[in-house]
Amino acid sequence: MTDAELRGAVAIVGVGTAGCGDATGFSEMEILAMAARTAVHDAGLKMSDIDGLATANISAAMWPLNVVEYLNIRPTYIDGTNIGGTSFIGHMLAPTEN
Amino acid sequence: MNAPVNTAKPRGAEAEYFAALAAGRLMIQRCCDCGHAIFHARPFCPQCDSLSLSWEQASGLGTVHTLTTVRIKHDRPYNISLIELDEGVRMMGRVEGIAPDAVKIGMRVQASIIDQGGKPLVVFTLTEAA
Repeated sequence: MTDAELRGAVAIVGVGTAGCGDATGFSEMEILAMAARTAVHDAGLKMSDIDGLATANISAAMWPLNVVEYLNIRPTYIDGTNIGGTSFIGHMLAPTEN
Repeated sequence: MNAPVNTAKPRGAEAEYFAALAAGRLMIQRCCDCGHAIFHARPFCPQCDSLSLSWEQASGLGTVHTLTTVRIKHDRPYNISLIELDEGVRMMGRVEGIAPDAVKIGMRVQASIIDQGGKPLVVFTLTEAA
């Protein structure tokens, strides 16, 4: 896929961060959940609207399932590909090929 | 410019849960808005998204919802069950005190907190009535 074809192929419609800086005493899941919650609200959606999930972490073998349970969502699309720090670029690339 | 202050004070719900567990209390959360019982501890209600959650001590009483026997070490098989606590949440744990194959769905169990490798761990035994 060329750069031109990639342009506009996917859209980030909400963003959220949490725990940037000092997050002492919070688990990675708590930080993820708060960031996800912020992003969902930023997009003008509810958590129950979410039907897809892309996430990567090395702390659990089946991390996406933990996230699904934690956020109480029922995604029909899950991407748990972990290719290190570029995982999240890969996660955004995958939907362009569907 | 100063670096952010690291207070090393537990602040997250999970840290609160384990601090209480280490003090001998099994705690669950309840949503102040919709009343939903919540476990594992988390920062907002998975049912209604509310940030307003309260803590309550679980009775520790529950029912075996489902189970398996783990035979990683064949001479020492052990049970792992999903226990539905009376408060309405499910948690995973070992049912101890009886042979793993003797654990059955629907059995009434009581939680206790043991020390395993220096960390508090919730395990279950059959209630007296069982």
